[in-house]
Amino acid sequence: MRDLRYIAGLLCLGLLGALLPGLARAAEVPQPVTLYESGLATLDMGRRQVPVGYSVSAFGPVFTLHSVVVQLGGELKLGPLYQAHELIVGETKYVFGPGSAAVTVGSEIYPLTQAPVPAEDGLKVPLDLFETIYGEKMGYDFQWDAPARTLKVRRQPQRQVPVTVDIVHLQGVTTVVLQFPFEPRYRIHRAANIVEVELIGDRVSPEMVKSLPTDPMVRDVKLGQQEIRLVLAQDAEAEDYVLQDPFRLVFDVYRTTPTATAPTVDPTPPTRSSGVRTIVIDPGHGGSDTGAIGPSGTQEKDLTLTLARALRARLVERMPVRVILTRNEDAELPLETRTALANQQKADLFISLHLNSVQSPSANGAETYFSSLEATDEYAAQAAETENLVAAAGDDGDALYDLQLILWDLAQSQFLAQSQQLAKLVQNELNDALGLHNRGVKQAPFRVLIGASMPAVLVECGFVSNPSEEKALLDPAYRSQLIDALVRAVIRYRAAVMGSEAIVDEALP
Amino acid sequence: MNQRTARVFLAVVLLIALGIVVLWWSQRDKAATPGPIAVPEAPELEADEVLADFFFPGNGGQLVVEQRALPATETLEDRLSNLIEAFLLGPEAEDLYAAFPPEVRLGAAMVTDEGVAYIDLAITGQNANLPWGSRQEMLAVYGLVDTVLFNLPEIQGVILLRNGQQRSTFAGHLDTTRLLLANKDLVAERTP
Repeated sequence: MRDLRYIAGLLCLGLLGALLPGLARAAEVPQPVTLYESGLATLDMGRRQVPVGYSVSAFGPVFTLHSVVVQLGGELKLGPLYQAHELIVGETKYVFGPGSAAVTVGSEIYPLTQAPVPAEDGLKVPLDLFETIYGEKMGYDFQWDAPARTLKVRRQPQRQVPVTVDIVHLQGVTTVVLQFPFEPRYRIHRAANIVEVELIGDRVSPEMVKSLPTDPMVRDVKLGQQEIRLVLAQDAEAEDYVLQDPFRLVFDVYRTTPTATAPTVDPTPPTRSSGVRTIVIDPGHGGSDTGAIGPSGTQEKDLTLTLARALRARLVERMPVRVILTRNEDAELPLETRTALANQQKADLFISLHLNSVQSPSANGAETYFSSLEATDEYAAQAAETENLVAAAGDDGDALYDLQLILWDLAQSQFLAQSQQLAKLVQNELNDALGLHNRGVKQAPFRVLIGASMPAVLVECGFVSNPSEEKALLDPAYRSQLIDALVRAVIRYRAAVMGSEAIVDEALP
Repeated sequence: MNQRTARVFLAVVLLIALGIVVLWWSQRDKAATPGPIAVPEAPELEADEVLADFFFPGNGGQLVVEQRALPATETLEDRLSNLIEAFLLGPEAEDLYAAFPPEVRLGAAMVTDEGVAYIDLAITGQNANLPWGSRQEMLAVYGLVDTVLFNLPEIQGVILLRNGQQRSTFAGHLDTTRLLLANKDLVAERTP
């Protein structure tokens, strides 16, 4: 009888194992959307009209993406069915996909009225996706005339855009700042030693050009009617980024060939061959969710953001990785959105930073968690035993959600070993560097880790409820040690994933 | 039924089958209840009292057992309500802590025929946001769950509600969308 049970168990596990890849794929499959109406509408561009496929769901109309992109421009990269799609317009990449009512642009997430819908004639998307991509940024207005089945697309009226140009040279880097009173519609073109900012549908109204000195990296700044052109030195390169309030488009210009006095910086960009290309760091809590509060009033949300920003800066210094923060300001962000961002960015690691608290002021030390729907193996066994109790109790609850959780757990199981490996490295480095009480590596069903499709850990960096640790965490030197410890853990993890110990010695802080 | 739907359906059927096998298999070890916990001394009981073990947060960030006498009641739901209300009042020992702030009250408690306890905690006032770290949240939630499951073996698991609603987390960390089971890993033996 005992043998029979053993064989039956093995048979079931074998069947489950064989089906795991299919189940993991099924976890990504969005639920079918009911479409009440489908057909061809007219895409009215003013001077020309072209057909566009459309359907109507309970949330409103959706339109064939490809037809609109052909008319308005952009490079469309359709992923495999049910995976992320990319649309590149100018230099901006938009990522979206079926099953997710959101579009991501870099680290920003914009909600949509409904998720894109896969259809026989291609992916159909809601109107607000077009408005996000082509609206304010590209100068188009969209209007859906349902009775006439016509989607009208019109250019917004041309504006005069005042611009102030400022140039500063400091420590081998020239910074060019283009300041606008509002965010203009623009795209950036690059060719040889030219960087051109083209205003889309608007005209440049030069306010002033502050101090245009003879600069070793920027030879000239030319203001045209619709463009601002930077002429760089032959061996110079420009990186652009945006600052807000007021809106500023900033170019850091530096030499690509290091001079004798230039600092030795590894300019290697992230490569696809690396095992860790993108890391998402999640500063815990934010907005009205303060997280734990220390005895002297320190709020967890503030410290996690400080730590996350410092960790990002230190990681990009040390390795060729892209590092994205789930939030870069004091803002409330749903837990599900944090992992959704990591999934949409196809991150290779997800690190959620937290500070701990308990009622006792004496509890201290760091602890690192990796995800599990259950807290322990034994707990998991109990859960399997009682899994059907709620359903049996007649609670129809959210059976679909439960199924999604189970499927996610199966899919996530492939990352468990890596999550555990990273958690151990983090815990060891924190203990070694800070001499903290080792609270160890643990598993817990933390919501922010559930749904992550990559190795994911939650690091409790210390107890803010302990007066001594709160004081230490407010000390920049202590935080610097803590950040270095986290960086070392990531470097060692990356080396282990890539199967190379050589990069550890080069990169360790 | 298209191929994708069929695949998902097949997966669900197999998962249910696996669950049944695991359930059947584990019946032989039905006595899987929280393990032995050292307790300093048991209080003396009156005739109409029963002894209950409470799991309260201790100094080291773990749960510590405190034994107390509770009035004996007839129905399971009365026993459950008494137990939770006593738990919310906090410990008698000075070196232990109340798991929840005083504003937290028992909203409702019921038990299904299958042994699932639905416990609704009502939280209002200044501490309604529960500014807790993850450990504090785990100690509060599992302190309550362990107390219920250890003392009332008729109950198999807990669904925790807050102000009448099942939330994605109770206080920002722990997933409370699912049936909560006992967690022995958080329990420390009490030192004399």
